[in-house]
Amino acid sequence: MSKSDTVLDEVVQLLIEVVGEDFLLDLEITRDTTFSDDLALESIEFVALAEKLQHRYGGRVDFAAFVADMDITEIMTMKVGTLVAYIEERTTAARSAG
Amino acid sequence: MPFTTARDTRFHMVELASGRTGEPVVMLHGLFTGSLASWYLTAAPAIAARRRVRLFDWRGHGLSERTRAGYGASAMADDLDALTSDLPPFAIVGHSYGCVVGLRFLQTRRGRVRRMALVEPPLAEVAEPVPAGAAPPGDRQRFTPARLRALRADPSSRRVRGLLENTTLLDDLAAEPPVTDEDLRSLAEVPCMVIGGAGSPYAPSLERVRRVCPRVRGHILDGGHDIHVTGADDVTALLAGFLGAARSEEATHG
Repeated sequence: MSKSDTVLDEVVQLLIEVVGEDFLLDLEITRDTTFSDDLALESIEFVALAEKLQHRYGGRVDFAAFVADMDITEIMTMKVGTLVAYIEERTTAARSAG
Repeated sequence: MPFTTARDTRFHMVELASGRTGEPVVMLHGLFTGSLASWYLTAAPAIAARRRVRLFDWRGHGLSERTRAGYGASAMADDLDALTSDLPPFAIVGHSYGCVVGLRFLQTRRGRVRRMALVEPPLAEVAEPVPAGAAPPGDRQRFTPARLRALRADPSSRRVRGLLENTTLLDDLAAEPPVTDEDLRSLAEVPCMVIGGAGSPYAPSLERVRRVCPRVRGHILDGGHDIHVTGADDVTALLAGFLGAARSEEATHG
């Protein structure tokens, strides 16, 4: 399994924790899945996901900084893959620096 | 996920830049469809670049516990007090009803608020004098049957339905005493800024606040009641300037 797949799997797992397994039943989450249109994520659920990411990855992932330059529409219509790529970039950078 | 229990209620609370020193900023959301996300996904990250920022979901909102009662501004000011008891004096940024709660907090906890930024405060409809013997105007008047139907029909508003059907929120709002001019004069005790949406039904609030407190800074932006979302860039810039000014004033006055 590649690193990206690992991060994607972890994001999916955190999404399940946020919205519940039943809600995502029969829905395959890929990098092209959007948070708003495909997952119907509410904004407060997006915040909950951000908090879980922060807890999972610690200071390596600064979600608030990541979205600071986006408007709320950009945030909510973001693809899962965009978030995964950001996490991958940040964790790779942290590993290189360390 | 960060939850804290205060006043026998479980609150969802988030802090950005928690290690930053200096005057914290507490950002308060409005009722019904409001949640801390309305700040977290708009102005809060930029403000957190210079300030410690605390956000929480009011009871019954976002991810906080929905209690049967406790939704009047005074009760919510008590919630605010409990949820900020560990903070030094702080700045308040409120949207909509969060402004009213912030005002009640300012009135009853003097010395704990350093500055106030009010975004779309719903103060216009209580501007009329109350006729003797008449019931005080309450917020229930703002929630027409059509608006309530729209809230219930919105599939993303299951939390709103829960509030309407399982809490005393509307009754609490109806029982809320109006914000008087005397109440508004409290705003003169701290630096205060009001931001309104030109297309909002509450736009006259700014005129009223400035009539009572001429030194209040006021800004009208293109947009409606959700100006902090639809006009996030402009609102964020105004807030950052207003809150950032705290640093130079602190430096000046020690």
